[in-house]
Order: sequence, then structure tokens, then C-alpha cells
Amino acid sequence: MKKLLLILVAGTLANPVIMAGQKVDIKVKGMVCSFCAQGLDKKFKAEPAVEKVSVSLKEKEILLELKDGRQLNDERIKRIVHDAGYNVHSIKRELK
Amino acid sequence: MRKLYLLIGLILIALTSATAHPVPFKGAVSVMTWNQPYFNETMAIYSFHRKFAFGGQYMRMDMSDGEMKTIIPQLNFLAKRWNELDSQANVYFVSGFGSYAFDNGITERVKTTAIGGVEADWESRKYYVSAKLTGLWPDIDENTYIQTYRAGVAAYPSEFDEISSWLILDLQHVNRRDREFTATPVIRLFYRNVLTEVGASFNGDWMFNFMVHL
Repeated sequence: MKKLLLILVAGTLANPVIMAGQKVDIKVKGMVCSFCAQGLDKKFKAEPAVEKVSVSLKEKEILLELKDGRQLNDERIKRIVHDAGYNVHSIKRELK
Repeated sequence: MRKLYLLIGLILIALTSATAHPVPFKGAVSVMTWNQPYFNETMAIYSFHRKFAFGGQYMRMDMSDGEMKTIIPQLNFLAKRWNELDSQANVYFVSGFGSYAFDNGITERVKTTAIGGVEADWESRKYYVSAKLTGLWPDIDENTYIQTYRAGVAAYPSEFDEISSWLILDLQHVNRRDREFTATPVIRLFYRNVLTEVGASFNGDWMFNFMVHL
């Protein structure tokens, strides 16, 4: 029984992404105006996996905080940015 | 040769307009109105694709020989967009067909008209230039050509959650009304999805524009 618990705990710790939420840092090309960046803010907020959206025009970044245990893959992110009229420059991920 | 390229570039940029992008983000509804003593335009558009928007516009304009009114369903097309880290540039085409009324003070005639236009803009967080050329080809009367050129500078580089303020010089010419371009300094303020502009031309005519993305 102890071994089983140990395996479960170890397995859980080895997959922190499943337990903790992620921060996704998206660098966007063409995002120079807040009036136009509304589309990105609106579309990402509508995503079920997204808990919080922060936009920085100075850094040309959108910072997403994902809900615990939820994922938003790169292809989906690129699609949203593309539909809003922009292009993704880079995507970085880290744990919250 | 560089100067020639620069000149051609500036002319191309100047060949557009822009208080607003004619094709906002996919799924957006935009409502906008431009107003001067001799000109009113109200438009509502819906972007059903990242490159296309459909909508309708009402326009009223005083000409040298009467008053023109149009109601035109139109299709806007984003032909090309250049997204860079610090800037964005666009070329749009506008087309439509609708009703055209002209009142010369004695009689009012109502017919149809086609509308076509090309717009281009370039903007960064600090600078903005645009140009717009619109043509109206009615069944009656002579053709109308409206040119609008704009250049603007931001008062400060605003962030997403801040009020953004710009000083813009608007140059406008209508072939059936003007002998010279009308120059109007404009103050533009926008916050989130609401944009407003107020200005007064060197002739003393006011300007008020408003736009919202829904």
C-alpha cells in the first residue's frame, strides 16, 4: 500500500502541469494599438482554459494564465492571434 | 534614387484614410460615425472573416450644386497586412452598390450608385499615417471622388489599459465641392473599444467622429 501511495505521489509530482496552471507568454507582431488589440483580449478571454489575460503593448506581449489542469496548445494560440489579424512571434510557457 | 523611393512610399501611404480599419478582427461588429457641417457618414460593419467585412453606410454631403445622400451595402476587403514587432501596415479595398439621391434645391432625384475605394495605413505606437480614395459612380450626375489623408503622432506611448491620445492632421478633398484641400487638426482619444475624435478646420468647421468595436 505504501508503495502504491509513493508511486501515486511521485507520478503526480512528475507531472506538475496537470496539477498547476500555466503562464503563457505570447509575443505578437503588429500589436501596436490598444483599440485594435481588443480582439485578442476578447478572444482569449472567451477560451475555457484561460483564467486571466494581460496585454502589454510596450512589450508586444499577451500573458495568459491558464486554469489549473487546463491546456491551450500552440496551434490554437496561433489560430486565435491569426484570426484577430496579427502574427505570433514566439510562445513561452512556465508554471504558475 | 532613395529619395524617389521614399517619395513613392509616402505617396502610397498617403493614398489611404483611417480613423478605423475597414476590416476589424474576425467576429467584431463596428459602429462608426464621421461628422462635419457639410458631411455625415454612419457605418456598421461585421467581420465574418479575418479578411472580409460586410455592412452598410449612410452618407450625406453638401456639394457646390446641391445635397447628396446615399445608402449603400458594402463589402470591405483586407488585401494585404504587414505585421512587424513595432508597426503594422494595411491595404484595403471597399466596394458596394446602393441608392443615391441628389437634391439641387428644386428637385430631388433618386437613382443608384456604385462605390469603390482603396485605403492604406501604417501605424506604430507613436506615429500614424493613412490615405483613402473613395469614388462614387451614380446613374445620374457626375462622379464624386473623396480623398482623405492623415498623419498623426501620439501624445505619449499608451498602454492597453490607458487612455490613448493622438494629435492628427486631416486633409480632405471632394472634387464636386472643394477647390482646395480642407485641413483639420484633430484630437483623437480612445480607451479600450471606444474611440472619439474632435477637431476644427482652419476654415472654422468642426469635426466629430466616434467609433466602437462590439
